[in-house]
Amino acid sequence: MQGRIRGMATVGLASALVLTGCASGGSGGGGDAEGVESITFVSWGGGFQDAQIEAFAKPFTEATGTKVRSDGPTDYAKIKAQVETGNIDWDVVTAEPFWAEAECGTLLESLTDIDRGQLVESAGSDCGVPVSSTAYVLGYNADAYKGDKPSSWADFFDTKKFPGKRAVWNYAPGAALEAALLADGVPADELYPLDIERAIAKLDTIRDDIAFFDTGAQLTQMLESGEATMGVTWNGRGYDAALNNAAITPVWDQSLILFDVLSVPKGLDEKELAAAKEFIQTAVSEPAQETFVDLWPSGSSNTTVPAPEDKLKFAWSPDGAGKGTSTLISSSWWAENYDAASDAWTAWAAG
Amino acid sequence: MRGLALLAPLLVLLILCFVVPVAEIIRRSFVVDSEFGLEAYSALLGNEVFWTILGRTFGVAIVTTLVCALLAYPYAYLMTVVSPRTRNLMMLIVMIPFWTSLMVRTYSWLVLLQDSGPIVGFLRGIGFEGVTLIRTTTGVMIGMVQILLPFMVLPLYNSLAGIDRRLLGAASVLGARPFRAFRRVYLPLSLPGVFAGSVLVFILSLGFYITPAILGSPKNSLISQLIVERISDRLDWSSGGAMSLILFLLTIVIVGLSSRFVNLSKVYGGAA
Repeated sequence: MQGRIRGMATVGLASALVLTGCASGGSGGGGDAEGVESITFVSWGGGFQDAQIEAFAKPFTEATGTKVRSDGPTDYAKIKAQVETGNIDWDVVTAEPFWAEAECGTLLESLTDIDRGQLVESAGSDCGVPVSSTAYVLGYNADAYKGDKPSSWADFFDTKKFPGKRAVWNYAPGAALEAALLADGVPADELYPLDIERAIAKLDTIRDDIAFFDTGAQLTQMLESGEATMGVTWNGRGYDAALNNAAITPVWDQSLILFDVLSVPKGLDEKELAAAKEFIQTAVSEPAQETFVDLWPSGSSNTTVPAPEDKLKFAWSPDGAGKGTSTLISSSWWAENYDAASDAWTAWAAG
Repeated sequence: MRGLALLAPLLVLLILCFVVPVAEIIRRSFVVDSEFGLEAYSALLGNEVFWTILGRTFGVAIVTTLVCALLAYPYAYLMTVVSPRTRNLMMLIVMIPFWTSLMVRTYSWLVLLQDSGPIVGFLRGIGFEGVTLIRTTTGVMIGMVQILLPFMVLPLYNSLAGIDRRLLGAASVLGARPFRAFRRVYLPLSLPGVFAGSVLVFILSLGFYITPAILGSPKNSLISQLIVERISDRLDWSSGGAMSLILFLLTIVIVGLSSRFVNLSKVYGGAA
């Protein structure tokens, strides 16, 4: 989710191809993936994808000899087009959990034979193997609030006590609906099924104080520049902003969390499918996940991986300062209600 | 026959890269859940958000076109009366932004228009407190006008440069004051140029995506953003296709209607 750029990104950023591993060095490994020269891994770009390539692709190439091409950003329309035409360029894609659940069997391959023994049990689905977690926290600019600091979603909606623009993702599953309900007094364990009408009525109370963003880069820019003094903040982007502006601070209480998944488009041939599955197995393994969380403040889907040591990463990591604070966003609810919730969201935000 | 051979490369390119994909999108708009039908269209009929945003899109396109015309007309006129040297300089001033990437220009506007930016700072300095430009329809239109201005100036200049200025002299000999001579003689002769530029700017405005996405907010999103949401996020290609076809047909109708006021073949240099 970190670098999800939506439609706009296809214009400029989709070009970088990263080749990892040496050209033909590792012929020793073999395994199931033998005979596949390369696979293409797709994600949302930015530091998130760089960390994934470094942590997942390197050990995979060393073990199998299969090279990994990096492409992106993840674009569901492109996956649909590839599957429908039977012309699959993308072997492993990073996707949102609810999408993988909604398209399981239609656009995506079943991945029930991946060993998930060490992975977070409540995460993922048949067609999506949980790979890392993203949290939505209340991120605020401490310089803007000298006295009392915002400490809950209720404060997020209190524009009298805490004036300033609120950064909100213009995307129904972007956790603003959940945050609104929590602010309105709905207990975290009774969030789902979401009361969309109530959530939007609550959001409407601060409509004029919302600065909508479409991309993670915009969120970082809004927080860093002070255009927004708080936001429904992705932890990775909050971390990015905090690197440049130390005043950006997360509130972990009432945070929301989801596990991004790795999925495989339907229609690969047997060998490619085996290679894709082996890549996924490597990616969620303990050593690969340890490298990953060292590079990027996402949480790990592998329960054996310890929290990051770096102080700032710890502060922004769901496995660090955020441990035990978050409510899991229901991907099965979103898989079923995405269209209805999006309609309501667009009618409110754009109507 | 030889003419046809010369046309062939372009025809093949257009058919493969334009006609076929567009036809496919239109075909898909009539297929819902792999069954032929008009569901996508009937669903849109009752979709208030769609009509609101479509109306907004046409509104923004009309205002952008008018503002472009008002700004470009005096500029293009000036270009016809100055020395060739100054004219080249004026042409360069139009062309340099035209050659600059759309993304670069749009992001520059983001910097210029934001609350802490120079424009708002200047307005505050001369007494306009609390003005916001970024993420407003005004801000989006400022960006669009600047980006689309060359598409108005160039055809307009072409048309104005072709007007025989002796006609104005003749009008004045016959007793017309300068303003009357302009209104009765010069302006009507220049209308084809205004129309050519307006059609270009208007149609380009209808499809603008990047600029409203970066400078605007959902509150002032345009139809192309809604279509992208349908196609990319929802994978609802029939509804995205239906929106596209409606936009396409409305555009043709509007351009067709307005062409009744101006002779199209004259504008585009057909049979004189």
